[in-house]
Amino acid sequence: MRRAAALLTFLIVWEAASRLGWVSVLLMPPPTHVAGVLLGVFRSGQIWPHLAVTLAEALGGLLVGLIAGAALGLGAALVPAVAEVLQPVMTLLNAIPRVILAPLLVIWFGIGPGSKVALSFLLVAVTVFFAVYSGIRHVDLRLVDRVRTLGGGGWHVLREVYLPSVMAWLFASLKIAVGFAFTGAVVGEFVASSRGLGYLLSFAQSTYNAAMTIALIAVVVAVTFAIFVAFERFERAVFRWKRTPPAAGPVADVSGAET
Amino acid sequence: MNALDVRNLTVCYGGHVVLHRLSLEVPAGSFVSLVGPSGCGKTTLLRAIAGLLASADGEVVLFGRRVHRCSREAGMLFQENALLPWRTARQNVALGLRFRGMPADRAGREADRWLERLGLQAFADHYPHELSGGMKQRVALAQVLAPGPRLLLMDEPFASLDAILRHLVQTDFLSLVRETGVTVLLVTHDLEEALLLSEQVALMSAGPAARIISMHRVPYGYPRDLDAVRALPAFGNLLKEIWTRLQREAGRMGWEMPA
Repeated sequence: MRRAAALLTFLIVWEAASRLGWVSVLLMPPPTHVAGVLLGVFRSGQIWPHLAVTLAEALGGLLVGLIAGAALGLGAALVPAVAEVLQPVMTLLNAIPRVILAPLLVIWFGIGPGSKVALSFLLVAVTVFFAVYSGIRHVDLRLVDRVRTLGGGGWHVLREVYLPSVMAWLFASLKIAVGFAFTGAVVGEFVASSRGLGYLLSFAQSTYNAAMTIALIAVVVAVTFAIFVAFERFERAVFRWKRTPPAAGPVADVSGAET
Repeated sequence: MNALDVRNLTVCYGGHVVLHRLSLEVPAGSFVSLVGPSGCGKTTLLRAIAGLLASADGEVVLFGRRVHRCSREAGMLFQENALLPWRTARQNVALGLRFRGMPADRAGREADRWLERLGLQAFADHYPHELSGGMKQRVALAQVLAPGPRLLLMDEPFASLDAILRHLVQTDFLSLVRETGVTVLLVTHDLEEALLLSEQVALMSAGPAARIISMHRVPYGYPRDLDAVRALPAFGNLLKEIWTRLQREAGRMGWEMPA
Protein backbone atom coordinates (compact mmCIF):
# COMPACT_ATOMS: atom_id res chain seq x y z
CA MET A 1 0.00 0.00 0.00
CA ARG A 2 2.76 2.43 0.96
CA ARG A 3 4.64 1.70 -2.23
CA ALA A 4 1.54 2.25 -4.35
CA ALA A 5 0.88 5.52 -2.49
CA ALA A 6 4.48 6.66 -3.03
CA LEU A 7 4.27 5.87 -6.73
CA LEU A 8 0.98 7.72 -7.03
CA THR A 9 2.38 10.76 -5.21
CA PHE A 10 5.40 10.74 -7.51
CA LEU A 11 3.19 10.68 -10.61
CA ILE A 12 0.96 13.48 -9.28
CA VAL A 13 3.97 15.70 -8.47
CA TRP A 14 5.41 14.99 -11.92
CA GLU A 15 2.11 15.77 -13.58
CA ALA A 16 1.79 19.01 -11.62
CA ALA A 17 5.40 20.04 -12.25
CA SER A 18 4.95 19.51 -15.95
CA ARG A 19 1.56 21.20 -16.22
CA LEU A 20 2.53 24.20 -14.06
CA GLY A 21 5.59 24.77 -16.22
CA TRP A 22 8.22 23.96 -13.51
CA VAL A 23 9.89 21.65 -15.99
CA SER A 24 9.85 21.76 -19.76
CA VAL A 25 6.98 19.80 -21.28
CA LEU A 26 9.32 18.77 -24.08
CA LEU A 27 11.81 17.18 -21.66
CA MET A 28 9.37 15.87 -19.05
CA PRO A 29 5.95 15.41 -20.65
CA PRO A 30 3.23 14.80 -18.02
CA PRO A 31 2.42 11.13 -17.22
CA THR A 32 -1.07 11.50 -18.68
CA HIS A 33 0.46 12.53 -21.98
CA VAL A 34 2.89 9.57 -21.87
CA ALA A 35 -0.02 7.27 -21.09
CA GLY A 36 -1.85 8.66 -24.10
CA VAL A 37 1.11 7.94 -26.37
CA LEU A 38 1.41 4.45 -24.89
CA LEU A 39 -2.28 3.77 -25.47
CA GLY A 40 -1.92 5.13 -29.02
CA VAL A 41 0.89 2.79 -30.08
CA PHE A 42 -0.96 -0.22 -28.65
CA ARG A 43 -4.29 0.80 -30.17
CA SER A 44 -2.82 1.40 -33.62
CA GLY A 45 -1.07 -1.95 -33.25
CA GLN A 46 2.22 -0.60 -34.56
CA ILE A 47 4.13 -1.68 -31.46
CA TRP A 48 3.20 -5.36 -31.57
CA PRO A 49 5.64 -6.58 -34.25
CA HIS A 50 8.47 -4.69 -32.51
CA LEU A 51 7.54 -6.08 -29.10
CA ALA A 52 7.38 -9.59 -30.57
CA VAL A 53 10.84 -9.24 -32.14
CA THR A 54 12.47 -7.99 -28.94
CA LEU A 55 10.70 -10.63 -26.83
CA ALA A 56 11.80 -13.40 -29.21
CA GLU A 57 15.40 -12.16 -29.21
CA ALA A 58 15.52 -11.87 -25.42
CA LEU A 59 13.92 -15.27 -24.81
CA GLY A 60 16.12 -16.87 -27.46
CA GLY A 61 19.26 -15.46 -25.85
CA LEU A 62 17.97 -16.47 -22.41
CA LEU A 63 17.27 -20.06 -23.45
CA VAL A 64 20.52 -20.64 -25.35
CA GLY A 65 22.54 -18.74 -22.73
CA LEU A 66 20.95 -20.79 -19.96
CA ILE A 67 21.77 -24.10 -21.63
CA ALA A 68 25.31 -23.08 -22.62
CA GLY A 69 26.07 -21.38 -19.30
CA ALA A 70 24.79 -24.36 -17.31
CA ALA A 71 26.68 -26.87 -19.45
CA LEU A 72 29.93 -24.90 -19.23
CA GLY A 73 29.50 -24.34 -15.49
CA LEU A 74 28.90 -28.04 -14.99
CA GLY A 75 31.91 -28.92 -17.12
CA ALA A 76 34.16 -26.47 -15.28
CA ALA A 77 33.04 -27.72 -11.86
CA LEU A 78 33.53 -31.38 -12.76
CA VAL A 79 36.64 -31.24 -14.97
CA PRO A 80 39.54 -29.16 -13.55
CA ALA A 81 41.12 -28.75 -17.00
CA VAL A 82 37.95 -27.11 -18.32
CA ALA A 83 37.88 -24.75 -15.34
CA GLU A 84 41.49 -23.80 -15.94
CA VAL A 85 40.69 -22.66 -19.47
CA LEU A 86 37.20 -21.24 -18.90
CA GLN A 87 37.52 -19.42 -15.62
CA PRO A 88 39.87 -16.62 -16.77
CA VAL A 89 37.80 -16.08 -19.90
CA MET A 90 34.55 -15.97 -17.95
CA THR A 91 36.04 -13.74 -15.25
CA LEU A 92 37.21 -11.31 -17.92
CA LEU A 93 33.83 -11.38 -19.67
CA ASN A 94 32.17 -10.84 -16.32
CA ALA A 95 34.40 -7.90 -15.44
CA ILE A 96 34.05 -5.91 -18.67
CA PRO A 97 30.81 -4.16 -19.70
CA ARG A 98 29.78 -6.89 -22.12
CA VAL A 99 27.56 -4.55 -24.16
CA ILE A 100 30.71 -3.06 -25.75
CA LEU A 101 30.75 -6.23 -27.84
CA ALA A 102 27.48 -5.21 -29.51
CA PRO A 103 29.07 -3.41 -32.52
CA LEU A 104 31.32 -6.37 -33.18
CA LEU A 105 28.39 -8.77 -33.00
CA VAL A 106 26.50 -6.62 -35.53
CA ILE A 107 29.46 -6.88 -37.91
CA TRP A 108 29.57 -10.65 -37.41
CA PHE A 109 25.88 -11.52 -37.39
CA GLY A 110 24.31 -8.65 -39.33
CA ILE A 111 21.68 -6.17 -38.28
CA GLY A 112 18.97 -8.84 -38.02
CA PRO A 113 17.91 -10.65 -34.81
CA GLY A 114 21.08 -12.81 -34.83
CA SER A 115 23.33 -10.14 -33.33
CA LYS A 116 20.76 -9.35 -30.62
CA VAL A 117 20.35 -12.98 -29.64
CA ALA A 118 24.14 -13.25 -29.53
CA LEU A 119 24.47 -10.28 -27.17
CA SER A 120 21.65 -11.57 -24.97
CA PHE A 121 23.30 -14.95 -24.98
CA LEU A 122 26.66 -13.53 -23.89
CA LEU A 123 25.13 -11.59 -21.02
CA VAL A 124 23.07 -14.54 -19.80
CA ALA A 125 25.63 -17.32 -20.32
CA VAL A 126 28.31 -15.66 -18.18
CA THR A 127 25.86 -15.07 -15.33
CA VAL A 128 24.52 -18.61 -15.43
CA PHE A 129 28.02 -20.07 -15.77
CA PHE A 130 29.09 -18.52 -12.48
CA ALA A 131 25.89 -19.53 -10.73
CA VAL A 132 26.26 -23.19 -11.68
CA TYR A 133 30.04 -23.28 -11.26
CA SER A 134 30.04 -21.77 -7.78
CA GLY A 135 26.82 -23.60 -6.93
CA ILE A 136 28.56 -26.93 -7.41
CA ARG A 137 31.76 -25.80 -5.71
CA HIS A 138 29.88 -24.51 -2.68
CA VAL A 139 27.85 -27.64 -2.12
CA ASP A 140 27.63 -28.41 1.59
CA LEU A 141 30.13 -31.24 2.03
CA ARG A 142 28.50 -32.25 5.31
CA LEU A 143 25.45 -33.28 3.28
CA VAL A 144 27.67 -35.36 1.01
CA ASP A 145 29.11 -37.07 4.11
CA ARG A 146 25.63 -37.69 5.43
CA VAL A 147 24.42 -39.31 2.20
CA ARG A 148 27.57 -41.44 2.03
CA THR A 149 27.29 -42.67 5.64
CA LEU A 150 23.63 -43.49 5.03
CA GLY A 151 24.82 -45.87 2.33
CA GLY A 152 24.33 -43.66 -0.71
CA GLY A 153 26.53 -44.07 -3.79
CA GLY A 154 27.79 -41.54 -6.32
CA TRP A 155 24.45 -41.32 -8.10
CA HIS A 156 22.64 -40.69 -4.81
CA VAL A 157 25.09 -37.92 -3.90
CA LEU A 158 24.45 -36.32 -7.28
CA ARG A 159 20.67 -36.58 -7.08
CA GLU A 160 20.16 -35.82 -3.38
CA VAL A 161 22.81 -33.13 -2.84
CA TYR A 162 24.34 -31.66 -5.99
CA LEU A 163 21.25 -31.35 -8.16
CA PRO A 164 19.00 -29.61 -5.59
CA SER A 165 21.72 -27.18 -4.50
CA VAL A 166 22.60 -26.26 -8.06
CA MET A 167 18.93 -25.83 -8.98
CA ALA A 168 18.55 -23.34 -6.15
CA TRP A 169 21.55 -21.34 -7.37
CA LEU A 170 20.39 -21.55 -10.95
CA PHE A 171 16.96 -20.16 -10.19
CA ALA A 172 18.37 -17.32 -8.16
CA SER A 173 20.59 -16.38 -11.12
CA LEU A 174 17.78 -16.85 -13.63
CA LYS A 175 15.90 -13.88 -12.24
CA ILE A 176 18.96 -11.69 -12.85
CA ALA A 177 19.46 -13.32 -16.23
CA VAL A 178 15.98 -12.22 -17.40
CA GLY A 179 17.01 -8.59 -17.00
CA PHE A 180 20.27 -9.30 -18.83
CA ALA A 181 18.45 -11.00 -21.70
CA PHE A 182 16.40 -7.86 -22.32
CA THR A 183 19.44 -5.63 -21.90
CA GLY A 184 21.14 -7.62 -24.65
CA ALA A 185 18.18 -7.50 -27.01
CA VAL A 186 17.37 -3.80 -26.56
CA VAL A 187 20.98 -2.57 -26.57
CA GLY A 188 21.68 -4.70 -29.63
CA GLU A 189 18.74 -3.11 -31.42
CA PHE A 190 19.93 0.26 -30.25
CA VAL A 191 23.25 -0.20 -32.00
CA ALA A 192 21.87 -1.27 -35.37
CA SER A 193 18.49 -2.69 -36.36
CA SER A 194 15.34 -2.14 -38.35
CA ARG A 195 12.88 -3.62 -35.87
CA GLY A 196 12.34 -4.06 -32.13
CA LEU A 197 11.75 -1.89 -29.07
CA GLY A 198 15.39 -0.77 -29.11
CA TYR A 199 14.92 0.39 -32.69
CA LEU A 200 11.79 2.34 -31.74
CA LEU A 201 13.64 3.81 -28.76
CA SER A 202 16.54 4.96 -30.88
CA PHE A 203 14.07 6.40 -33.39
CA ALA A 204 12.15 8.25 -30.66
CA GLN A 205 15.41 9.59 -29.27
CA SER A 206 16.65 10.83 -32.63
CA THR A 207 13.42 12.81 -33.10
CA TYR A 208 13.61 14.19 -29.52
CA ASN A 209 10.26 12.57 -28.73
CA ALA A 210 10.51 12.35 -24.92
CA ALA A 211 6.93 11.11 -24.45
CA MET A 212 7.49 8.20 -26.84
CA THR A 213 10.86 7.41 -25.25
CA ILE A 214 9.37 7.25 -21.76
CA ALA A 215 6.44 5.18 -23.04
CA LEU A 216 8.80 2.64 -24.63
CA ILE A 217 10.96 2.47 -21.50
CA ALA A 218 7.77 1.71 -19.56
CA VAL A 219 6.97 -1.15 -21.95
CA VAL A 220 10.43 -2.72 -21.54
CA VAL A 221 10.25 -2.37 -17.76
CA ALA A 222 6.74 -3.88 -17.65
CA VAL A 223 7.67 -6.90 -19.79
CA THR A 224 10.90 -7.59 -17.87
CA PHE A 225 9.14 -7.22 -14.55
CA ALA A 226 6.31 -9.55 -15.62
CA ILE A 227 8.78 -12.29 -16.56
CA PHE A 228 10.75 -11.70 -13.35
CA VAL A 229 7.60 -12.11 -11.26
CA ALA A 230 6.59 -15.22 -13.19
CA PHE A 231 9.98 -16.78 -12.45
CA GLU A 232 9.71 -15.85 -8.80
CA ARG A 233 6.27 -17.44 -8.54
CA PHE A 234 7.59 -20.57 -10.18
CA GLU A 235 10.63 -20.61 -7.91
CA ARG A 236 8.48 -20.31 -4.81
CA ALA A 237 6.30 -23.19 -5.98
CA VAL A 238 9.27 -25.43 -6.76
CA PHE A 239 11.40 -24.54 -3.75
CA ARG A 240 8.88 -24.93 -1.00
CA TRP A 241 11.68 -26.06 1.30
CA LYS A 242 13.03 -22.52 1.29
CA ARG A 243 9.81 -20.86 2.32
CA THR A 244 8.38 -20.18 5.74
CA PRO A 245 5.07 -22.05 6.02
CA PRO A 246 1.92 -20.41 7.36
CA ALA A 247 1.90 -22.88 10.27
CA ALA A 248 5.22 -21.60 11.63
CA GLY A 249 4.03 -18.02 11.89
CA PRO A 250 3.25 -15.09 9.61
CA VAL A 251 4.60 -15.58 6.11
CA ALA A 252 7.19 -13.05 5.06
CA ASP A 253 5.38 -10.93 2.53
CA VAL A 254 7.73 -10.69 -0.44
CA SER A 255 5.42 -8.54 -2.52
CA GLY A 256 5.25 -5.99 0.28
CA ALA A 257 1.68 -5.09 -0.64
CA GLU A 258 0.37 -5.25 2.92
CA THR A 259 1.33 -3.66 6.27
CA MET B 1 32.55 -60.65 18.95
CA ASN B 2 33.59 -57.04 18.76
CA ALA B 3 31.44 -54.62 16.83
CA LEU B 4 34.51 -52.57 16.11
CA ASP B 5 38.22 -53.29 16.10
CA VAL B 6 40.55 -50.44 15.29
CA ARG B 7 44.06 -51.84 14.90
CA ASN B 8 47.19 -49.70 14.76
CA LEU B 9 45.36 -47.02 12.85
CA THR B 10 47.47 -44.13 11.54
CA VAL B 11 45.74 -41.20 9.88
CA CYS B 12 47.53 -38.24 8.34
CA TYR B 13 45.76 -35.03 7.49
CA GLY B 14 47.22 -31.91 5.91
CA GLY B 15 50.80 -33.07 6.48
CA HIS B 16 50.23 -33.91 10.15
CA VAL B 17 50.03 -37.32 11.77
CA VAL B 18 46.69 -36.94 13.55
CA LEU B 19 46.34 -40.50 14.84
CA HIS B 20 49.33 -42.74 15.39
CA ARG B 21 48.99 -46.53 15.73
CA LEU B 22 45.70 -46.13 17.56
CA SER B 23 43.87 -49.25 18.70
CA LEU B 24 40.37 -49.49 20.13
CA GLU B 25 37.90 -52.31 20.72
CA VAL B 26 34.17 -51.86 21.07
CA PRO B 27 32.30 -55.07 22.08
CA ALA B 28 29.03 -55.76 20.23
CA GLY B 29 26.01 -54.32 22.04
CA SER B 30 28.08 -52.02 24.25
CA PHE B 31 28.10 -48.27 24.61
CA VAL B 32 31.56 -46.70 24.58
CA SER B 33 32.36 -43.01 24.89
CA LEU B 34 35.48 -41.42 23.56
CA VAL B 35 36.77 -38.37 25.43
CA GLY B 36 39.92 -36.34 25.06
CA PRO B 37 41.26 -32.80 24.92
CA SER B 38 39.75 -30.75 22.11
CA GLY B 39 41.68 -30.96 18.89
CA CYS B 40 43.12 -34.38 19.75
CA GLY B 41 41.57 -36.09 16.73
CA LYS B 42 38.38 -37.64 18.11
CA THR B 43 36.35 -36.54 15.10
CA THR B 44 39.11 -37.73 12.76
CA LEU B 45 38.98 -41.16 14.34
CA LEU B 46 35.21 -41.30 13.98
CA ARG B 47 35.38 -40.21 10.34
CA ALA B 48 38.04 -42.83 9.63
CA ILE B 49 35.84 -45.52 11.20
CA ALA B 50 32.86 -44.30 9.16
CA GLY B 51 34.91 -44.64 5.99
CA LEU B 52 34.96 -40.93 5.21
CA LEU B 53 38.75 -40.65 5.66
CA ALA B 54 41.44 -42.88 4.28
CA SER B 55 44.01 -44.21 6.72
CA ALA B 56 47.76 -44.23 6.11
CA ASP B 57 48.23 -47.48 7.98
CA GLY B 58 46.39 -49.98 10.16
CA GLU B 59 42.85 -51.26 9.78
CA VAL B 60 39.25 -50.75 10.79
CA VAL B 61 37.24 -53.94 11.27
CA LEU B 62 33.45 -53.86 11.65
CA PHE B 63 31.85 -57.09 12.89
CA GLY B 64 34.83 -59.10 11.67
CA ARG B 65 34.99 -57.50 8.23
CA ARG B 66 37.68 -55.03 7.26
CA VAL B 67 36.22 -51.82 5.82
CA HIS B 68 37.72 -49.34 3.40
CA ARG B 69 34.79 -47.12 2.56
CA CYS B 70 31.38 -46.28 4.06
CA SER B 71 29.89 -49.48 5.44
CA ARG B 72 26.18 -50.13 5.74
CA GLU B 73 26.87 -51.75 9.13
CA ALA B 74 27.66 -48.31 10.55
CA GLY B 75 25.54 -45.19 10.86
CA MET B 76 26.89 -41.80 11.80
CA LEU B 77 25.23 -38.95 13.66
CA PHE B 78 26.98 -35.65 13.12
CA GLN B 79 27.47 -32.65 15.33
CA GLU B 80 25.46 -30.29 13.12
CA ASN B 81 21.94 -30.99 11.98
CA ALA B 82 22.98 -31.74 8.42
CA LEU B 83 19.56 -32.90 7.24
CA LEU B 84 18.86 -32.38 3.55
CA PRO B 85 17.09 -28.98 3.53
CA TRP B 86 15.07 -29.87 0.42
CA ARG B 87 13.62 -33.03 1.94
CA THR B 88 10.80 -33.26 4.48
CA ALA B 89 11.34 -34.99 7.82
CA ARG B 90 9.75 -38.17 6.43
CA GLN B 91 11.86 -38.10 3.26
CA ASN B 92 14.99 -37.48 5.30
CA VAL B 93 14.31 -40.45 7.56
CA ALA B 94 13.49 -42.63 4.55
CA LEU B 95 16.74 -41.75 2.78
CA GLY B 96 18.90 -44.62 4.07
CA LEU B 97 16.13 -47.14 3.35
CA ARG B 98 15.73 -45.87 -0.21
CA PHE B 99 19.49 -46.14 -0.75
CA ARG B 100 19.11 -49.82 0.10
CA GLY B 101 16.52 -50.19 -2.64
CA MET B 102 13.30 -50.05 -0.60
CA PRO B 103 10.38 -48.65 -2.67
CA ALA B 104 9.47 -45.06 -1.77
CA ASP B 105 6.04 -45.82 -0.29
CA ARG B 106 7.31 -48.57 2.00
CA ALA B 107 10.28 -46.46 3.06
CA GLY B 108 7.85 -43.61 3.80
CA ARG B 109 5.70 -45.82 6.04
CA GLU B 110 8.80 -47.09 7.82
CA ALA B 111 9.97 -43.49 8.30
CA ASP B 112 6.57 -42.60 9.77
CA ARG B 113 6.96 -45.36 12.35
CA TRP B 114 10.34 -43.93 13.41
CA LEU B 115 8.99 -40.40 13.59
CA GLU B 116 6.09 -41.62 15.73
CA ARG B 117 8.49 -43.39 18.04
CA LEU B 118 10.29 -40.09 18.58
CA GLY B 119 7.04 -38.13 18.99
CA LEU B 120 7.41 -36.28 15.71
CA GLN B 121 4.54 -37.78 13.69
CA ALA B 122 2.89 -34.35 13.38
CA PHE B 123 6.00 -32.98 11.69
CA ALA B 124 6.52 -35.65 9.03
CA ASP B 125 5.77 -33.24 6.19
CA HIS B 126 7.80 -30.36 7.57
CA TYR B 127 11.07 -29.22 6.06
CA PRO B 128 14.16 -28.96 8.31
CA HIS B 129 14.01 -25.16 8.45
CA GLU B 130 10.54 -25.49 9.96
CA LEU B 131 11.80 -27.64 12.86
CA SER B 132 13.49 -26.63 16.12
CA GLY B 133 17.06 -27.69 16.91
CA GLY B 134 15.94 -30.51 19.20
CA MET B 135 13.44 -31.80 16.61
CA LYS B 136 16.07 -31.76 13.88
CA GLN B 137 18.44 -33.76 16.05
CA ARG B 138 15.71 -36.33 16.71
CA VAL B 139 14.90 -36.54 12.99
CA ALA B 140 18.61 -37.05 12.36
CA LEU B 141 18.64 -39.85 14.96
CA ALA B 142 15.66 -41.53 13.26
CA GLN B 143 17.37 -41.09 9.89
CA VAL B 144 20.49 -42.86 11.10
CA LEU B 145 18.66 -45.67 12.94
CA ALA B 146 16.00 -46.38 10.29
CA PRO B 147 18.22 -48.48 7.99
CA GLY B 148 19.16 -50.62 11.01
CA PRO B 149 22.90 -50.06 11.43
CA ARG B 150 24.63 -52.34 13.93
CA LEU B 151 27.12 -49.68 14.99
CA LEU B 152 26.16 -46.08 15.69
CA LEU B 153 28.93 -43.48 15.53
CA MET B 154 28.10 -40.16 17.13
CA ASP B 155 30.08 -36.95 17.00
CA GLU B 156 29.01 -34.59 19.80
CA PRO B 157 25.35 -35.01 18.85
CA PHE B 158 24.02 -33.08 21.85
CA ALA B 159 26.54 -30.23 21.91
CA SER B 160 24.29 -27.73 20.13
CA LEU B 161 21.32 -28.26 22.48
CA ASP B 162 20.66 -26.23 25.63
CA ALA B 163 20.94 -27.95 29.02
CA ILE B 164 17.27 -28.87 29.54
CA LEU B 165 16.73 -30.02 25.98
CA ARG B 166 19.95 -32.00 26.11
CA HIS B 167 18.74 -33.87 29.18
CA LEU B 168 15.47 -34.78 27.44
CA VAL B 169 17.09 -35.83 24.18
CA GLN B 170 19.75 -37.84 26.04
CA THR B 171 17.07 -39.73 27.98
CA ASP B 172 15.06 -40.50 24.82
CA PHE B 173 18.20 -41.44 22.99
CA LEU B 174 19.45 -43.81 25.68
CA SER B 175 16.19 -45.76 25.87
CA LEU B 176 15.99 -45.96 22.07
CA VAL B 177 19.55 -47.26 21.84
CA ARG B 178 18.98 -49.91 24.52
CA GLU B 179 15.75 -50.97 22.79
CA THR B 180 17.34 -51.41 19.38
CA GLY B 181 20.46 -53.07 20.76
CA VAL B 182 22.72 -51.04 18.52
CA THR B 183 26.37 -50.67 19.54
CA VAL B 184 27.35 -47.07 20.18
CA LEU B 185 30.62 -45.17 19.95
CA LEU B 186 30.04 -41.63 21.21
CA VAL B 187 32.57 -38.85 20.82
CA THR B 188 32.09 -36.07 23.35
CA HIS B 189 34.08 -33.36 25.06
CA ASP B 190 31.58 -33.50 27.92
CA LEU B 191 32.97 -35.99 30.42
CA GLU B 192 29.78 -35.97 32.47
CA GLU B 193 27.76 -36.93 29.40
CA ALA B 194 30.16 -39.79 28.73
CA LEU B 195 29.78 -41.13 32.29
CA LEU B 196 25.99 -40.73 32.27
CA LEU B 197 25.33 -42.58 29.05
CA SER B 198 28.02 -45.15 28.42
CA GLU B 199 29.40 -48.38 29.84
CA GLN B 200 33.01 -47.66 29.03
CA VAL B 201 34.95 -44.46 28.58
CA ALA B 202 38.02 -44.41 26.34
CA LEU B 203 40.42 -41.57 27.04
CA MET B 204 42.41 -40.21 24.13
CA SER B 205 45.80 -38.55 24.43
CA ALA B 206 46.49 -35.02 23.27
CA GLY B 207 47.34 -34.69 19.59
CA PRO B 208 49.19 -34.78 17.30
CA ALA B 209 49.79 -38.51 16.90
CA ALA B 210 46.97 -39.27 19.33
CA ARG B 211 46.20 -42.71 20.72
CA ILE B 212 43.98 -44.25 23.40
CA ILE B 213 45.67 -43.99 26.78
CA SER B 214 43.14 -45.63 29.09
CA MET B 215 39.76 -47.38 29.24
CA HIS B 216 37.45 -46.86 32.20
CA ARG B 217 34.54 -49.14 33.06
CA VAL B 218 31.46 -47.35 34.38
CA PRO B 219 30.30 -49.19 37.54
CA TYR B 220 26.52 -49.08 36.98
CA GLY B 221 24.25 -50.77 34.45
CA TYR B 222 21.07 -50.16 32.49
CA PRO B 223 18.33 -49.06 32.65
CA ARG B 224 19.57 -45.86 34.19
CA ASP B 225 17.92 -42.83 35.65
CA LEU B 226 20.28 -40.06 34.61
CA ASP B 227 19.55 -37.94 37.69
CA ALA B 228 20.02 -40.88 40.08
CA VAL B 229 23.31 -41.81 38.39
CA ARG B 230 24.61 -38.27 38.84
CA ALA B 231 24.12 -38.58 42.61
CA LEU B 232 26.03 -41.88 42.95
CA PRO B 233 29.39 -41.68 44.79
CA ALA B 234 30.92 -43.93 42.12
CA PHE B 235 29.95 -41.37 39.46
CA GLY B 236 31.73 -38.57 41.29
CA ASN B 237 34.85 -40.63 41.94
CA LEU B 238 35.22 -41.75 38.34
CA LEU B 239 34.53 -38.24 37.08
CA LYS B 240 37.32 -36.93 39.29
CA GLU B 241 39.75 -39.64 38.23
CA ILE B 242 39.26 -39.16 34.50
CA TRP B 243 39.09 -35.40 34.87
CA THR B 244 42.56 -35.34 36.47
CA ARG B 245 44.01 -37.37 33.60
CA LEU B 246 42.20 -35.24 31.03
CA GLN B 247 43.62 -32.06 32.52
CA ARG B 248 47.10 -33.53 32.44
CA GLU B 249 46.64 -34.32 28.74
CA ALA B 250 45.25 -30.89 27.94
CA GLY B 251 48.17 -29.31 29.78
CA ARG B 252 50.63 -31.39 27.76
CA MET B 253 49.14 -29.94 24.65
CA GLY B 254 49.78 -26.31 25.70
CA TRP B 255 47.68 -23.29 24.95
CA GLU B 256 48.82 -22.62 21.45
CA MET B 257 47.06 -25.65 19.97
CA PRO B 258 44.08 -24.76 17.83
CA ALA B 259 40.73 -25.87 19.19
